[in-house]
Amino acid sequence: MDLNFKNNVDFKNLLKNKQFLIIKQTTNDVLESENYKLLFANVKSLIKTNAFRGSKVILIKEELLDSTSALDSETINKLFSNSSFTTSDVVEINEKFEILDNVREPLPQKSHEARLLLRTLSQGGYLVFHIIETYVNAFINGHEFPESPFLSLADKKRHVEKKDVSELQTVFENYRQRLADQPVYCKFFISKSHLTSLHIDSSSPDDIKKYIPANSHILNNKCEDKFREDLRLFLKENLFINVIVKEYILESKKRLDIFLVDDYGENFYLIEVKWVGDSINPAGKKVSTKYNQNDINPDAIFQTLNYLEELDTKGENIVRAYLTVFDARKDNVGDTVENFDKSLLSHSQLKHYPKFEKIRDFRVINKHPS
Amino acid sequence: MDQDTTELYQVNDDLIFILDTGLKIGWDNIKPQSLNRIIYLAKVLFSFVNEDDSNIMDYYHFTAQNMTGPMSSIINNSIAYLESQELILTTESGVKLNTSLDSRINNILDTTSLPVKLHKQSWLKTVMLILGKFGENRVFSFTINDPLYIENIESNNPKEINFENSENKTLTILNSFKDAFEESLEDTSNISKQEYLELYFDYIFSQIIK
Repeated sequence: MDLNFKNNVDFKNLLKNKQFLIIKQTTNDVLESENYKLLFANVKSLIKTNAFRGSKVILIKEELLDSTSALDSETINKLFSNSSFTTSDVVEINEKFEILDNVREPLPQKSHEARLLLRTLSQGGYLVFHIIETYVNAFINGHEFPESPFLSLADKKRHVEKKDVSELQTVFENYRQRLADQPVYCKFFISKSHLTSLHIDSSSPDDIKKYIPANSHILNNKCEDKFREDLRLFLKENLFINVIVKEYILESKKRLDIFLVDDYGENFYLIEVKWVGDSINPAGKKVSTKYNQNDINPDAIFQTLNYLEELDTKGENIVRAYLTVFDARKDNVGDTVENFDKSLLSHSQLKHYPKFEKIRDFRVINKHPS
Repeated sequence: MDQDTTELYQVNDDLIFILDTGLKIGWDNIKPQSLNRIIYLAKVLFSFVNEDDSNIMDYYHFTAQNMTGPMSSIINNSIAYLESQELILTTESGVKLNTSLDSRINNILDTTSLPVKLHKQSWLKTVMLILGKFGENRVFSFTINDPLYIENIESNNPKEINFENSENKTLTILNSFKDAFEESLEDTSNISKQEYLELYFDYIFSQIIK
């Protein structure tokens, strides 16, 4: 997250573009009032506690705002379970969150039509809370204070949905498919022009037309960083989860690759990233590092289990530790961990083994060197 | 009364106030970790809004030793104490006020002739109302993205987090955030420090969900 605001031209331009919205937000007496904040927080909380999904509009007369200072949580909590609420699209409530009126009429499917309706309602003396999935868009006196860029479910669903951490396996599968795209995989491998110069440097007797496909599997130098960052970014974009600070260093000075944590900061997921194949040296003149199956099975498994042990000793609640392996070997010779001999584990490693999971290798092939 | 006991009583008062405010914003139960994080945010942000005052929450000593966010042991001690006094109840979703003991709770919340306590309650309410806009499940995200916490966790520093204004990176970032508004917008005279704080949280939230 970029928190550098000093001399940040992009941020200043963003502020200039949003000047009207900022002024609206900081000069609206209703929005700034304590009672409004209490009201909004309660609506937000109800969505979470009732696992609300869908879209609904809650109306409350603005004149009732002064009476909302002593909200009773017991009455409030009944709102979302009231059958009139669950079956309606628009409900009007009073200051005690009791339903005064309800309308069953689907909200407009297009955001701009929904906006027009909600603004009009708010000009009629209502505070309008438009709930869309977990977001609440507020409308006050014809002004819009949105949390979601979408005002209709149809528009929102067209947008790519982030997945819950329970769907991590699906996200890994999606990532596997993405690795088959040339713009994605080509950044891991040395370029075609690099292969040409390597052909000269190595004085290979092979014809260049044979040399390039035979060596296109050679990875860039420091490819572990590229693999890790690519996977980290993909998870960040596709999961509703916090991806922890870039590198977390254990007390043993070991560096954890990817660390995920749920909303409440209670459940942690560790992802260890490894690779197998050949990578070029820093000067780009020859292959200098080779990792093969033995580096993964059993070494990387031991390493991941040792991390689990160290974190457990520290009191961290790691619910799952995944070992992911980018397989860029020249030949397709099967998964790096087809079988694992558990008898190799120490007593303490064995204790943490149930939390360990090896993800099927991410095979990366430089089909079309560029 | 020794200093430790005095501080524990102050923390007891704060927790009761936070749980009571929680009831008003629909957070009927609050997780102990969230209580640590709410108080951490209240401490780290205090000097931005209350420039001339010494930090009203200086009896909280936080460390950033694990990834669940900053922890202050006195908060956990207070939870245990309040539970033993039956003033709070532990549930699956966290801790909650034992509202059947209304009169005792009201006594604890009372600020008559206690201006410092009133000031502190007012500040805690400000923080709770900002967080209430996003929900308890977002408190963790705000905490782990706090600049001072990140600085400490990245340095693997086991020592107590230093909140002195000169060392408080969050304060520096918030001031540069405010400066950027003043340099970019035509008139910022109507934006209070509290509103800057709300805008800052809106910005962080937009970054988190991006």
